[in-house]
Amino acid sequence: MATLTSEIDCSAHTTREINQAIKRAAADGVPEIRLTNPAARHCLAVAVMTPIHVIFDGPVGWYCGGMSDGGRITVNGSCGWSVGENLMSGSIEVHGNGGSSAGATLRGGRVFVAGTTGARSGISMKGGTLVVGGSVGYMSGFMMQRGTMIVCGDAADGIGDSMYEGTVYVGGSVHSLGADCVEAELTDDDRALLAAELDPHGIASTGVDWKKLVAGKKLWNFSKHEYDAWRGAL
Amino acid sequence: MEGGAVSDGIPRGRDGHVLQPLWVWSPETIEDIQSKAELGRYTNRGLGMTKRPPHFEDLTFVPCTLSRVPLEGYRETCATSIEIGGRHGAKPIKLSTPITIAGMSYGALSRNAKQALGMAATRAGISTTTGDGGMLDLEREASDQLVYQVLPSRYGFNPHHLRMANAAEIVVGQGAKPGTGGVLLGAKVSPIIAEARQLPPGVDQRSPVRHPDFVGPDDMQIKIEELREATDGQIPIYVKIGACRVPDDVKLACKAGADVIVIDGMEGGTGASPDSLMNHTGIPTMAATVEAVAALREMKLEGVVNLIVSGGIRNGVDAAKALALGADAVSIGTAAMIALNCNRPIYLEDYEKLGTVPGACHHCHTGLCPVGITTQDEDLIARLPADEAADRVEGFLNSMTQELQMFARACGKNAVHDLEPEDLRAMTIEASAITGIPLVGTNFAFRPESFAQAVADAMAAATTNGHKAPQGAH
Repeated sequence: MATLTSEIDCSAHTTREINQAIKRAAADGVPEIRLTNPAARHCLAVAVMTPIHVIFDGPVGWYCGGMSDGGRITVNGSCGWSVGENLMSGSIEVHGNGGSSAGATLRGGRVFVAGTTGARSGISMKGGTLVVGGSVGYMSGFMMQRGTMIVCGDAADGIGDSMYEGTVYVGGSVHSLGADCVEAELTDDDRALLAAELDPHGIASTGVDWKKLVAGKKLWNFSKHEYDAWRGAL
Repeated sequence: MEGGAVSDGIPRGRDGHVLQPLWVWSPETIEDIQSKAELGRYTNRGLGMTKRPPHFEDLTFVPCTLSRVPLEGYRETCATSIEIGGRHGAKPIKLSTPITIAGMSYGALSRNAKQALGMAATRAGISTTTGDGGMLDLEREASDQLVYQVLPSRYGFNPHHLRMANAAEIVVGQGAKPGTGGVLLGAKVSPIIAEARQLPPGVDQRSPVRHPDFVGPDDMQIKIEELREATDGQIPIYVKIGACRVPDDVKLACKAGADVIVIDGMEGGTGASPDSLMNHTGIPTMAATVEAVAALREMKLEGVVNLIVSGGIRNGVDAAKALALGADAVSIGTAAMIALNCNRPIYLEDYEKLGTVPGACHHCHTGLCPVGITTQDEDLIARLPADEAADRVEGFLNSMTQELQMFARACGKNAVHDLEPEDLRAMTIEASAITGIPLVGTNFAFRPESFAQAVADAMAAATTNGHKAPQGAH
């Protein structure tokens, strides 16, 4: 019978040993595994494909939870670049700040970063939901294909540049829109979605001047008659 | 003669005098300008460069005669196999012959083409590679050894597929257009392809060139670690680089932890790219091979980090020359497509509809490939039955192996990997300067160190003969 919680002191193990232990615990049906002293180590909880709740007590490095499918990861600390990259399903919650490329190429599931993230957050998202409690850096949402990005703080220059599809919501200020990113009207469905995503994290979605950003679709197919739209994109 | 005319292929004026075309404003340049004026942007097309670069063609083998003893040409054993990618303890890729099929996307290629390449690779005992658009089930089933590409776009990237792969290849660039992503024009983004890539159907897809989750070589080291963690360290990690600053790039890839480096020269093919990039970016495969081998040697990693070279490899002869220069294997893309049936003179009316002819068709970007290779049109795909197409590619791969063995035996080697630079001579001063191989008839390599040595020899000879060394020669 699997124990309810397993605990590992990361300082005593290699990254491979830690990841193998997480995968073994998940395969054994252990519902929760707690990892202490992660010390901002890279590539932790990568490709966890079986449901389990992985808890890191402390900061993690790059690629935490990358390529995972179906697990739940909680980071009680900050994380490095590319948290949850290419996540297929499941969730990652970071109770700290994130680095650049948070939620890059997300295909499903949810990535939540309570603090601020860096440049290119939500780059090439192909699905799923990225929620950033603070602000996002330059060119976030670049080439977004599908999915939802919610930025409670400010968006730096070039938000949503060259989006194909998907939706970006920004609660704070938008420094500048990227190529072919346009503002759309916020609907009741949008407000309901924002409430559903933010309420569980204790973040108020009302009383905020949400900006809804989508693709202008002028870059979908080339037209020489709209060269101004393409000037910076070709 | 009333007006100007072309007689015997020579343009002539009214009075019959020859009208000389201008070199700068050649008919090709005039057409290029006028087609861009109409289109309003750069021109895209498929296949590869139109220029002739310094090439393996400029090298010749000098087989055994009296000074060396050859192996019996059509009989004696000549080994061809090699294992690659075991540097960090992963299960290596086993190639029965030092050839691999290069990454070509499902999307640029039809499913039948991808399946046929997998079948042929399996029959020949080599590996094939996915492409920008993820792993096709048919391709995985057909391929005993499948290399899964990790591209900047990550279109269709799926960690479950990664774990089903036999190796992973981080694509930093492509020889046809290093520094720029690919293009898949709307005509080929069918509903099926669009869904595989999570894109809107019919969109002109312009792939990114920078990876979304890392930037430079130090970051790539962490990406490689992530891929190893995702695959429990079981599969080799390749890094594919478009040939540019090869010595630096090879060293950085080694340092980042690559098990295999793929260097793709400027002759490399593409499904669709800006024409100007194909002709004016990167360096030729022959030059890239020499620089990559030198870089590995300098790092004392020759044979540890395996080197695959690609870009315009047309046959076993090019492959033999690449091996003689130090490559562990070659990769073929366009040649494999041509073996499938690309540019075969059948369905002539469909070539005509595209405004092209077999032998000069590079209209892959249109999605209307008459022979069913670079298309997503069901009627056209049906023209390429996978099993028959696989037979042709297998036949071509076998011919490449035979040619490799033929040159190795002639040079007295009982393994193709024993081919060496000494087996070659350069046919042009340019090839000699690039490769360091002596020019035919001179026994002199046109390289700075050779000139320095020649000066030193002359000085030594002058001193020995009691003559004063020439002034300034030091």
